Amino acid sequence: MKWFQSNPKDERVEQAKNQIYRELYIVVVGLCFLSIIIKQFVDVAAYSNILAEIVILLIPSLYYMVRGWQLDIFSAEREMHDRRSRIPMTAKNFIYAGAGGVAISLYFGTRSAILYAEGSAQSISYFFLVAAVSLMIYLPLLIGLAFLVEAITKSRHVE
Amino acid sequence: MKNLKLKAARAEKNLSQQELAEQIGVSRQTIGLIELGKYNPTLQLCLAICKALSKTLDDLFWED
Repeated sequence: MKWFQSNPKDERVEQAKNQIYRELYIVVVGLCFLSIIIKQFVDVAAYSNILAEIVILLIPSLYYMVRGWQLDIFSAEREMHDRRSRIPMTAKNFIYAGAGGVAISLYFGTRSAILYAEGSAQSISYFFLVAAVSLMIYLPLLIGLAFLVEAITKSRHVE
Repeated sequence: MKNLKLKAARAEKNLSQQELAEQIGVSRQTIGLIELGKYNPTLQLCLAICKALSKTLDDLFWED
């Protein structure tokens, strides 16, 4: 029976451990980004193989979304934010999503112009072509994601 | 800010930090840090300390 009894835990130690786990997650995310950057600029041949990094970055984010939704922390967070900020969190989320879409498009446009174009005329045309297509894909995608977050937050919000 | 009320109440009961810590199921360091005002305990822990020292929350944790 003793196996099933959990040892008493010191709350301060548990809080300190949670703090370390939080920092650890930032370290892992940082290492993943570093790995992607190194693969892209230093070891170009390995760039096609960044699936592991993408999975490590995406799965915890999805997990956080699901657990956050289950524990209803998003609506509480939004309420606290809206209490002291002039711009509501919903508006901020859409602005960030739009800015993110534009930033990704500019990044892909620049990347294509540098890596694949020959000559300045082709660079400019590649930049605008890739940036425009990326904008058409990523802007609706990220704004759709913002809508999804909004819907998820509202679905759990209890007045 | 140091919690001298807690230290005094513990001394009144003739308990060392180690003994109090064992009674309420935390480490000695946690009691030390609460007395030094370097750790903010949860209400649950505050209540456990109060019960162990036969004091109220006001007696130990209310700042005048």
